[in-house]
Amino acid sequence: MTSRIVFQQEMEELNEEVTQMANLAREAIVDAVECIVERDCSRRPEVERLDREIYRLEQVIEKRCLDVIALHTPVASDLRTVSTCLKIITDLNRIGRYASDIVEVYDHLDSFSDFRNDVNISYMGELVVAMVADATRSFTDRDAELARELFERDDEVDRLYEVNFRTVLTYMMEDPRRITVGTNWILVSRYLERIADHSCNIGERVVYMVTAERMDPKDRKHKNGHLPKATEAQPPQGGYATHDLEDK
Amino acid sequence: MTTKISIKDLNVRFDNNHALKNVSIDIPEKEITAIIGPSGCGKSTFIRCINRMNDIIPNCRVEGKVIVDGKDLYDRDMDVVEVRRRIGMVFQKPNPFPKSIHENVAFAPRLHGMEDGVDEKGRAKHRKISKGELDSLVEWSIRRAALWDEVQDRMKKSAYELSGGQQQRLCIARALAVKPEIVLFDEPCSALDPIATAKIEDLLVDLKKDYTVVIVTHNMQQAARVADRTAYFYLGELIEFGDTEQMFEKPAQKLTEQYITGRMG
Amino acid sequence: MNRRQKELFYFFLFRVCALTVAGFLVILVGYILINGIGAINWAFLTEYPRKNNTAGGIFPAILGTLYLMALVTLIAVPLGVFTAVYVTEYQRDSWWKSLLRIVIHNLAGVPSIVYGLLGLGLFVFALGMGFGLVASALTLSLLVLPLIITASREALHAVPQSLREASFALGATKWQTVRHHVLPYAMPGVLTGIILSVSRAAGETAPILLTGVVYTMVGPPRLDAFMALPYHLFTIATQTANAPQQVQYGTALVLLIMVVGINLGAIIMRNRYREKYKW
Repeated sequence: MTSRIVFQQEMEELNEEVTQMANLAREAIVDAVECIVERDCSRRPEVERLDREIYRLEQVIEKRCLDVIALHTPVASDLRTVSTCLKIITDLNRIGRYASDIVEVYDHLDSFSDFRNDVNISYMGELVVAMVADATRSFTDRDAELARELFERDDEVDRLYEVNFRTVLTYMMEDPRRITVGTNWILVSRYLERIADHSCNIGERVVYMVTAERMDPKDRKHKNGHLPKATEAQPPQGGYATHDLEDK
Repeated sequence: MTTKISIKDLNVRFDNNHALKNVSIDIPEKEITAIIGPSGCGKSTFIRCINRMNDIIPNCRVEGKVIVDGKDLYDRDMDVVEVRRRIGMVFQKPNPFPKSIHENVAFAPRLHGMEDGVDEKGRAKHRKISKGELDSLVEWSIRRAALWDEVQDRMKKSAYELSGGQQQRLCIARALAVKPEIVLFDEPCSALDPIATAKIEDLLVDLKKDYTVVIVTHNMQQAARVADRTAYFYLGELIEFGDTEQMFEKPAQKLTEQYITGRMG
Repeated sequence: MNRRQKELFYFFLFRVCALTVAGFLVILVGYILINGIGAINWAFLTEYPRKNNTAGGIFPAILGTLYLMALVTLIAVPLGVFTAVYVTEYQRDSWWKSLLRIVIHNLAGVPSIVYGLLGLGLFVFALGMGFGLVASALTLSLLVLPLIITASREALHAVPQSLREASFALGATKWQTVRHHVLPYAMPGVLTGIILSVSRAAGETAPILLTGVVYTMVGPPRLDAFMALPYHLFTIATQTANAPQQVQYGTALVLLIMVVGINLGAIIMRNRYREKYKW
């Protein structure tokens, strides 16, 4: 069946391109965090280049997804893969954009060293870089468990953001001259927190791609220390599987 | 969701070929159920069991039960003519009679007559149908099959002057004229062009308001577009039966997934 | 010889064969026509023979042949067509079917004189019908039965199965399907078979020779005595002294015209039906 060979090739290329885009996004955020934390922005033009490349890739991949849908009518796992790709490229593009935004802030950051000790940018940055890396890996490895674990870590990042926000606010209230720098630190924190959220989005889409279950957004914030879990499909009984009709 | 047709342990053999193996399935009422599967998997054989068309084929042995409204169609007392009146069928290649359009639709009602109460055994009695009743029944059937506008002024012309899609809708009208409860479609669109196919698909969705529809199709997109429930057959066995949306988004069986994503021959 | 020459040679050869065959036919018909047309007049066709068949007309022979054809039609057609219907539509056992097919084909090859003897022994003597129209008609019916059955079977086989399935699926019984759809569709073929068979029966001499045809009559055909054209031709050509040649050829011409006319009618009817049922 010739059309399916072409289809298989298209799916493989799609997978490669999305993986490539994810790697670029990870590189970008690694460089951006390094820039802020080490105060060494020699890699800034690199980050900007990466951002542009990520944007270009988003367009290319979107077109490829739509072509596959129009020409090959994918169903079942193929359909879930294509729709996941379509959605996560948006998140990856945002991650690239935020990375670029972070290095832009660099110029406005000044020498208030006491800021740097109290504000956990470097720890936050580590966490976020790890989340992006794991989100990428969960996609390439089709690992739903890894994807689900991202949500707990996102809670940690959110907590750090809250802490940074209050700390910097206190500093700014103490000394109005610190307002510019402070605001910029808050911005950086915010960008990192948003990147973590986008990584979670990617995780949610990967869970759908692998298990076909959609996670309830309410379950994303865990309660009582339980990891949010999507329900598994029922195993087949007696030789063939039946699905009950849902209320229509 | 009520069950209209309940099939239990259906086995069909042609000489030494075991064409259907232990098929059990419950087909819901007033919905469209699609039967999909690769060539030779037994879909046509299966659907022809429902209206006992396999009886015509010599060397065909059918075991099992096909229960409609509480009665087994293969019961010894069952009148096969009555079965086929209550369960209509539309075939793959349009096969109108070589007669006029009017006569095509009028043939069967004239044969069966109008229902006229029940006899002492509870079976329906019939009386001769009058010309006026016949004409209005013909018109009703053709309208229901979305064909009236195209043929109303040439009812006496030969059915062979119609296009393929029109002929197929004529065959549907012919089947509807005897007021069946269930209508079976055996790959109704495979000989038609896309526009005619689309018209018939729209008609099917309209028909399910009043009839239980079972359609065999090798076109999976058609099954996905039109059917509420889908059953996947492979090598004579029922592999999976479920909600169409569910089956096309996440099938439970690996075999089903392989077939619908085209990764099987 | 190169390819083109070979081509021309074979073309020429085949054409010569075809023309030869056509030529014989033309000669046959033409010869009879030329020699016999003089005898044809109203008197010839409507008067009884006189003077030991050497003068007068051939009216009783024409009538006798017509009567025979009518009787054969009445007997052989229902028998043959319904047998064909049974074998094609109702019989399921293929072993039985093959046997029947062989039997019928072989019956078609039995020489007509043998049929005559059968008729003599079975109808005239054993069943006690005596010589006459009935025994002759029955014998001729046996003769043409295989033809009718075969032609009808072919016509019924040619009916597409999809037609029957459509009818069954609407809840029609087998008989209703056969009566309303299969037979009408097969009718051209069946009719052709009937007509050809009957015209064949009209031209047979041997069966009627042994079962009831008479040399001459002065009145119309009766149950126990009748004349027929083929036998009449035979007698006036070989057994009657002084029969004028023109009378002989005239009789032959009348017989020929009857048979050819019927066959032409069959062809025309077949063509008309074909038009009606074209897909």
